[in-house]
Amino acid sequence: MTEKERDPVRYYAARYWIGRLGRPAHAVLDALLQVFSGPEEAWEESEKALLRSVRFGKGTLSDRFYQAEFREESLRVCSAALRKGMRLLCPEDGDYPALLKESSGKPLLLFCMGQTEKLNASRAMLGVVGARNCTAYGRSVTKSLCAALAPYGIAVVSGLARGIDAAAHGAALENGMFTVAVLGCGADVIYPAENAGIYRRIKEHGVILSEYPPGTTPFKSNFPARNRIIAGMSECVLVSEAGLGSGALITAGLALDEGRDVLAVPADIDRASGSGCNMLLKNGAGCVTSYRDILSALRIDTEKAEAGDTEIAGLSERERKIFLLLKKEPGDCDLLAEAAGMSVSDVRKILTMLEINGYIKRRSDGVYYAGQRP
Amino acid sequence: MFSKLNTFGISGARVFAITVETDIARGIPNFEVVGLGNEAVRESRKRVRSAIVNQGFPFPQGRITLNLAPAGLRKQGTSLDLPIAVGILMSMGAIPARHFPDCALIGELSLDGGVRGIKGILPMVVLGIRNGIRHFIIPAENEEEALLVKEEISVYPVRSLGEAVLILKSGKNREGNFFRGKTEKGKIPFQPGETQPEWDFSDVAGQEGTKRALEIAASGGHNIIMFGSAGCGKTMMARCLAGIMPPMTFEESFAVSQIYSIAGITENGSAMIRERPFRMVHAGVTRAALIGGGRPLSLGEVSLAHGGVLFIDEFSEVDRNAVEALRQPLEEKQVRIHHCGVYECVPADFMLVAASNPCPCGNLYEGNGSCTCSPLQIRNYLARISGPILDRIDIQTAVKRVRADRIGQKEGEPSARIRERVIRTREIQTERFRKEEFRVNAAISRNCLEKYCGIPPAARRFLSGAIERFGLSVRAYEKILKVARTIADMEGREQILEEDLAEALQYRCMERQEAEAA
Repeated sequence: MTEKERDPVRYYAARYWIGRLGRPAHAVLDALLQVFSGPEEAWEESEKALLRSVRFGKGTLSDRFYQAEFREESLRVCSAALRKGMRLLCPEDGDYPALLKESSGKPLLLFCMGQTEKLNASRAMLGVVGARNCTAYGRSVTKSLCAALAPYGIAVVSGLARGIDAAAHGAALENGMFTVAVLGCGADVIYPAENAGIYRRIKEHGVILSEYPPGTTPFKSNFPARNRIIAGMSECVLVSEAGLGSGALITAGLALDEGRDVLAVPADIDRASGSGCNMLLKNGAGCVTSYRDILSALRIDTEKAEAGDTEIAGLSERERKIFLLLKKEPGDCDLLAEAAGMSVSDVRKILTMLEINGYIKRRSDGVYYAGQRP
Repeated sequence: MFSKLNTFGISGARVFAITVETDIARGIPNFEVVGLGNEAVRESRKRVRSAIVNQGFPFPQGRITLNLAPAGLRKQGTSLDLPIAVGILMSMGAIPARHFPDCALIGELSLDGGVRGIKGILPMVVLGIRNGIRHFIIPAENEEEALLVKEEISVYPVRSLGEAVLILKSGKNREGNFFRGKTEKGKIPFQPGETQPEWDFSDVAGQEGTKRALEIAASGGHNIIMFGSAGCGKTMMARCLAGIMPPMTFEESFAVSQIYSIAGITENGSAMIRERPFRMVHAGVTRAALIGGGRPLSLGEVSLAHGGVLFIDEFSEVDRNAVEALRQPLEEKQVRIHHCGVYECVPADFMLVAASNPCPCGNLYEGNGSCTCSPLQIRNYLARISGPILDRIDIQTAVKRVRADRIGQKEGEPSARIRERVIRTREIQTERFRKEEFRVNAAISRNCLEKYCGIPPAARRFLSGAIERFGLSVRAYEKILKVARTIADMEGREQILEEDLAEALQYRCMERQEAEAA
């Protein structure tokens, strides 16, 4: 009988306890393992023995190391999580995300909910991050890129924040892709509340995980730490829209530290909300203008035949006129009516038709642009 | 001696019949009015006394008791002065004390015995006709108003108490004319008013898309909401709308005039409201001002806009309470008000035109990062217009600012020409809905939707595909069909085609925004 089977609560509590002693957690564990045969043994040791045996002095290690009540708290947290039906994952577990296991900042214990057995079943994990305060353009690009990856068995990892994160999760769920939400609060805490719908669907079809104990409320400093898990889990990190101050750039930096590829979607040069992406591109990030760029970064062959410009062939003469105008420059129905010399009502009819057939897309302000078919 | 006369009172937004009973008994001189009169009614004693004396009649010595039946209903206003005075004169024998069952008196008295005009004559006459009254003695000021009714009645306009007494005595007025009434003056054919709005669509440069949306709205009576940047011309275009609305029919004009009569509003001094109402409401409007309320009850803007347009500017800035109160009149075409234990039902069948900024700073649609609002702010801002309200608005359209180089460049189509098209489209609808309760496409009831907005199976497939693709609600389906019906009517087509649906789909932009954000 293994240690885990004999007393699961104590098994997880020991790892949680070590994880909270200092950062990075695995360095603390390594130091302890030089003296003890395993985490459980360290847990069992009296304070005095620990002081004697552990090489580093009191100052470098958290004071919690010596406190009996902190051990009790660890036990409480882990038993509560198990009671709530969460699955706890340690790096030794087969379902612990494979890439995360190799990363330097791997957590010793993850609190998970959902389809945890599928965590290593995807062909590749793609981290998708971006601004919370995103534009409709950013949202739609994120959605269409994620959706286009659906046939290739790729899972989407993101942070369930507002904006790009929600768009990425949403697109994955809509297209039947596996998706993982890494939270900066307890895995049972829905934040932000407006994503409650996505949260529930991920819990059903994907995985929600967090290194924080259940019930932890979102705290500012938790989020950069959460980003390191996203970066660690993913083979590639796609920044689809981010300004210069965005947390997505932290994730990108952490991904580079872990040796992961960083991809970015180029943005208009005069738009502040996309300047972070352009900076990443300038510094050598992979430039994404099509889902194929992501596939090649993930080293997946694009077997699908490429559709050329023959798509216009199916359009009527007037539809083609509007489509070509939009291909040149985005515009609203007033501008198009003038440029094409048609009545507004005719232009509106054509716009609906083109949009339904996927040739063009509409921004919330009524401006249309020719979409690239993903 | 005892006498009895018919008159009318206003309670809230309704008129009701009142019988004025007068009794003069012997005893210590006293003058009492019973039957729940308000301050104005009790004050009428003073006016009546002076009027009677100043018209050369003696004021009776004795115990005068006046009862206003039904005694349980509150009475307000000054229209009871004349019947009270005449009742007293009749009881004291100055007029032969006959009962006049088919005659009614209405009017306010001045101290010298002159008769002043009052509010609400038109609905009073309408009610009187229904109650079997054929002779109306009314203030001369209100003569024209009373003659608006189509029925054959006798109207006796009077300028003073003495004239009223003369008529009751002899059936003749001062000039010796007998029964000067409807038969003589009421044959004037109804002429709708020619609206002369301040603004004309030809003053609006560009904005063809919004103009088209407004034309569709006017043609089918659809409620419309415009989202657009501050200063893009939403308000101006909404004002232009007044110039393209079709003229009122006699029935519409008559219904509107009754409401305005109670509210005491006249148009160029005339009681008949011939121009379609266009009520403009600003963002600070209260719930009571919008739907009516208060004591005594005053009519709200929704009722004053009956048969016409209610334009609410800065819609998302309006008090939530007031906006939500619009749900009921939008649904039922009338507004119900409970006030001081009285339950009122006032007609409020209007076309709602609303304008709103798309975000708190107002620049969302202008691009170039000029909008400084966060997504949460924008979401909260638009959430002030609740789903149920948005559900009742058929056309949603986004308006952008005209580019600076376009301003004043091209002369737009004049309102008069657009109005001709609107009238034509309305005629098609009037003809089609002859046997129905509704007149316009926007009002097609749910059970008639299939009958009037039926579409071939292919178009149906197209529409359900589009609704799914754009993430629209099932409720949008109905709206799209009605708007498509109007678009087809504008082309003079009986059958709704796919292209009509395609255009109608363009007017659900807000819902799509929500679907995309989710």
